[in-house]
Amino acid sequence: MTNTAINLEYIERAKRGEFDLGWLRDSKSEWGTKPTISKIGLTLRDISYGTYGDVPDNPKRRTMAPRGSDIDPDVPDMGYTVNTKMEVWSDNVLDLYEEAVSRQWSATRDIPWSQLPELPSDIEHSICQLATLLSEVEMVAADFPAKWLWRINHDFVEAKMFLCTQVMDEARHTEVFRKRALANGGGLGKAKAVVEQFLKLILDAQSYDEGSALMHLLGEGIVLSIFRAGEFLSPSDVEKRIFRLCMQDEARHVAYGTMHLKYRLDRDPSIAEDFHAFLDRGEELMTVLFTTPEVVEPMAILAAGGVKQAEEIGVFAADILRQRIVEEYLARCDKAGLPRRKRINLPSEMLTGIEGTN
Amino acid sequence: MTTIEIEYKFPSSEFFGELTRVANQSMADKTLGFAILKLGIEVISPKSVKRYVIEFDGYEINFLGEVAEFDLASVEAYVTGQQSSYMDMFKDIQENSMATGPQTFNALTMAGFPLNVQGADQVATDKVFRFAESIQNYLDSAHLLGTIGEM
Repeated sequence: MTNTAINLEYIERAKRGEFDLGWLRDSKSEWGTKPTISKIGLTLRDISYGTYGDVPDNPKRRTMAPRGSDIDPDVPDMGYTVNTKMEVWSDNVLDLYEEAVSRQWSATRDIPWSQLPELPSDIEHSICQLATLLSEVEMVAADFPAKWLWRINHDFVEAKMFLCTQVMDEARHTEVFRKRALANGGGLGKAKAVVEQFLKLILDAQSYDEGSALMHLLGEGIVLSIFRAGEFLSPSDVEKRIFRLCMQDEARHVAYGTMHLKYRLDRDPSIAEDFHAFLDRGEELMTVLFTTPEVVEPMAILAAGGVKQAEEIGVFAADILRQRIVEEYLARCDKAGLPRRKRINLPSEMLTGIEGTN
Repeated sequence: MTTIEIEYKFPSSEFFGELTRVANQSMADKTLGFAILKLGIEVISPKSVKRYVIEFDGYEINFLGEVAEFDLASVEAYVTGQQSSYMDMFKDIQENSMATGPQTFNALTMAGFPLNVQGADQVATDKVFRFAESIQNYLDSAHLLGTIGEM
């Protein structure tokens, strides 16, 4: 039982100048060791020296005590449920955290909102519908890590810190797309049930493994491609800057997700079939997304330059984008050690031209 | 006083050296954050294939020179395309002080043509877009150069 009683005797001793100083004499820290500071400043990697850099595969405790500190034996159990390093870790997570903190931006300050030009009605409608979709989907990538953060063992604090940056990134994405929808005389468009079903699948995931595969690898991979396409199709330099800044953030999240899955599978290949099953279900919903007018048509119209022109070349543009999304997703699965080219759960019509899927 | 306008031939080490020098001046305020990436740039013309390496090293950019081949163990990813496509991009940058419309780095590489980004794997390719704004800023610095002529 943890002793939390007030020690009045200590107060009296301290008044007489009789300090305890046990914390000073008995310190088990690596006293005298100093990190080498990187060119960009003192990074997490710089301070991962000695035992401080040792992240245990299976921490003994469930405590918020800093990893490497001298921990009281009777610290309370915080009730963490994610207590295995391979459940959350990736080899790039320290660097991604530093990158995320360094490359933060402001949707209020860094977007030249006053330079938004007046756009033809069909183009404004299209960009507003795309902004509505993105404002909707981005917040799940904050909700999901936030839902799991408190369950993750504090010994994996760098992974938790990275997920905190993701929460902030996604809040900003939700903000910037909501602002874009409302900034130029348009407004929010339609929110579709199928999109919500995909988000619910992520949010309701029974494990961090399941949710991370669906969100970091599949969902954010798709959104990264949409951001890249959005920059390409943007009607003005204002949207171009929005999409470029968002794509940087999203690419970090996808880099974490891909390398986390690789870390996981490298250490426990037997769990691959579980991940295949998660992605089978996610891809099924991805198919429905690819046939949802509110998802497909705005980008087709932006690509073609208007509704009229879209009738001729819009479908072609949508096909190129879908092919790009699927190819990049499959390449990430390859990198993670979860090859899905023979297993991908998309209709053959959607796999034309994609290497290794037939 | 007479101003002498220098013409930088593209592609050449002189061009990338000067572009890197002027780009570093805009990196000094650190607003984009740090970038860490070794990026190859391959320029194909009917006469030759030229390859150069740029290093984003925190808040600095270094031009590492011309190389015969890219080693994807050290150069994480490279951009490849025809000299004429690069020239169109730099022409747009010089006219507008920044790349516009289909001439931005992302737009040019989005579909794999006219420029393509190639990494050792998809994570390496994705890494390029973690620094999209820094790369765009680097290329946009070409508006501070004098004339850019074809090599």
